[in-house]
Amino acid sequence: MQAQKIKKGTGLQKHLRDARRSINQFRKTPFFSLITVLIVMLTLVFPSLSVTAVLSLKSLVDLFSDEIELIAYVNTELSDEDALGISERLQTNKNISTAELTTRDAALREFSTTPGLGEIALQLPNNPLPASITVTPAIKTAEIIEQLTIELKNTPGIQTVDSDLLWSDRVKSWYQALQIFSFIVSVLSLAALAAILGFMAYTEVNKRREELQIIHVIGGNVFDMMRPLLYKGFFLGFAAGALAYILHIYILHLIASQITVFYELYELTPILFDATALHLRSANPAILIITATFLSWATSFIGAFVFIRRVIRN
Amino acid sequence: MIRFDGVSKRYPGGQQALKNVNFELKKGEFTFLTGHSGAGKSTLLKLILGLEKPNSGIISVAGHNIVQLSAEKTAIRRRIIGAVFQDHQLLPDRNVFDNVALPLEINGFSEKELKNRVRAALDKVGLLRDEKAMPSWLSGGQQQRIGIARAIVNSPSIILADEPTGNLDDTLSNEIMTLFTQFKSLGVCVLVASHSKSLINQFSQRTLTLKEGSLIADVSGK
Repeated sequence: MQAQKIKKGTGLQKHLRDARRSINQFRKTPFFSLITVLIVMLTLVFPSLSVTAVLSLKSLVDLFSDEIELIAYVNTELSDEDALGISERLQTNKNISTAELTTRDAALREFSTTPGLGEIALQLPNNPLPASITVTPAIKTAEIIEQLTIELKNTPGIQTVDSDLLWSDRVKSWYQALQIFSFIVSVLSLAALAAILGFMAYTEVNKRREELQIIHVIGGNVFDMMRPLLYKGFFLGFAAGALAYILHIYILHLIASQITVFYELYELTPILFDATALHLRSANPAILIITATFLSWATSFIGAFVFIRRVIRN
Repeated sequence: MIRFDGVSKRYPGGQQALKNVNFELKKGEFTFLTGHSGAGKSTLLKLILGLEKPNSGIISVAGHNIVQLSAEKTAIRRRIIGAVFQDHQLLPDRNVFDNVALPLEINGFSEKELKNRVRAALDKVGLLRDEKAMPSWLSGGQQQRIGIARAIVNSPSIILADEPTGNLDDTLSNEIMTLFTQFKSLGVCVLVASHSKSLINQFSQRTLTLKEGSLIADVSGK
């Protein structure tokens, strides 16, 4: 034996050894490891599903917005030519995509097909119905629609403006409620996940207390003691994230047919379902797995750093 | 190799563990540290390891004043020291090989070098055949030899041993002390804390005696 100078050694060897040891620990305690991974997986699935629901509902909200039309009723004293003139002037407005005139006669013909009231209308001496201009906004944001409604109301010759935004408003309200709910669920789930992983780090440090004290005495620093825990956190997060993604897909697959039926009621099926599937295929797996891995690693880092320093101080 | 200049240590509870201790241990020197329980032997070893900081004085280990070093640098400096404990401090869930390999793992040795060094250390303490055994399967003397193998595997410049023969019979104690004296010829500075007068007399090496935290005698060996 020859007394040697301090050798700091190669970091790679340490990392490889600790990574291997962490995987072996999973193999040594398969039941406990599986339960932990499943708990983390379930905690991740709630926010992931709620985010998907919000994304899906957003496409529904957008589609309802696409259907928005404003109906401007022309003053009954004006002739069809005057009404056509108003319609043509509106067509030049940059906020208007189309402006389609329905003359008084056309309106009466359409109304006459209505059972009961339609027959009565035909027997009246004068046509009581106004001409109307169906306006499709070029941009379908709430601000533009509101602005356009005011503009139409102030247009000479326009008596009143009717905007059928009720359905859109209802869906938007549901969407906003779901957004808030999704945010709360995500925050609570991630907080629960951090608590679970933090507690795991605490338990793991306590279980390895003796080993950590020995490593400390023979020259290991805090990071030498933390490394196995960090790898464990990393692998656990990765496994839980991957499983959460599979469960996420499976749950969506189970409810896919019901979603399709629901959207078919609004003749929206292909667009919505494609959009949902697109989210699943592209963004979600990466986001879920990266989030789970990072969160698990970061919580293990904080937990291990705090608890290991306590152990070596004692 | 180790130098104490006016070192005093008082624990937060108020207990004065060491009072103005001065001594120097040279490279390749074997020294006993003796004194009754509570005399300050363990505190002195902890100060050399950097596990405790003194309230005053300078502790120089291999030319570095470890009092001023950060926790990170102190941990790295500790790697030149091999420590042996009375209670062995072995990891019960790792076999003999893995216990001895621990300091090399911390130093990031390659698998090949690690195997060579661990086997050489186990061979030196006569436990090569038991490398796959778990510590609990072995006797107290064998467990102590695992501890010694772990202390020497990293080719330390300093070996500190705290009551290494405390739980062993005379024959095993002699075996282990003989092993320690062999390191002296390899240029390793060895400091063994023991309260066994018979053992100290038998090996007749330099002896530092502590009493109530004060160094009361520094007797050279024959």
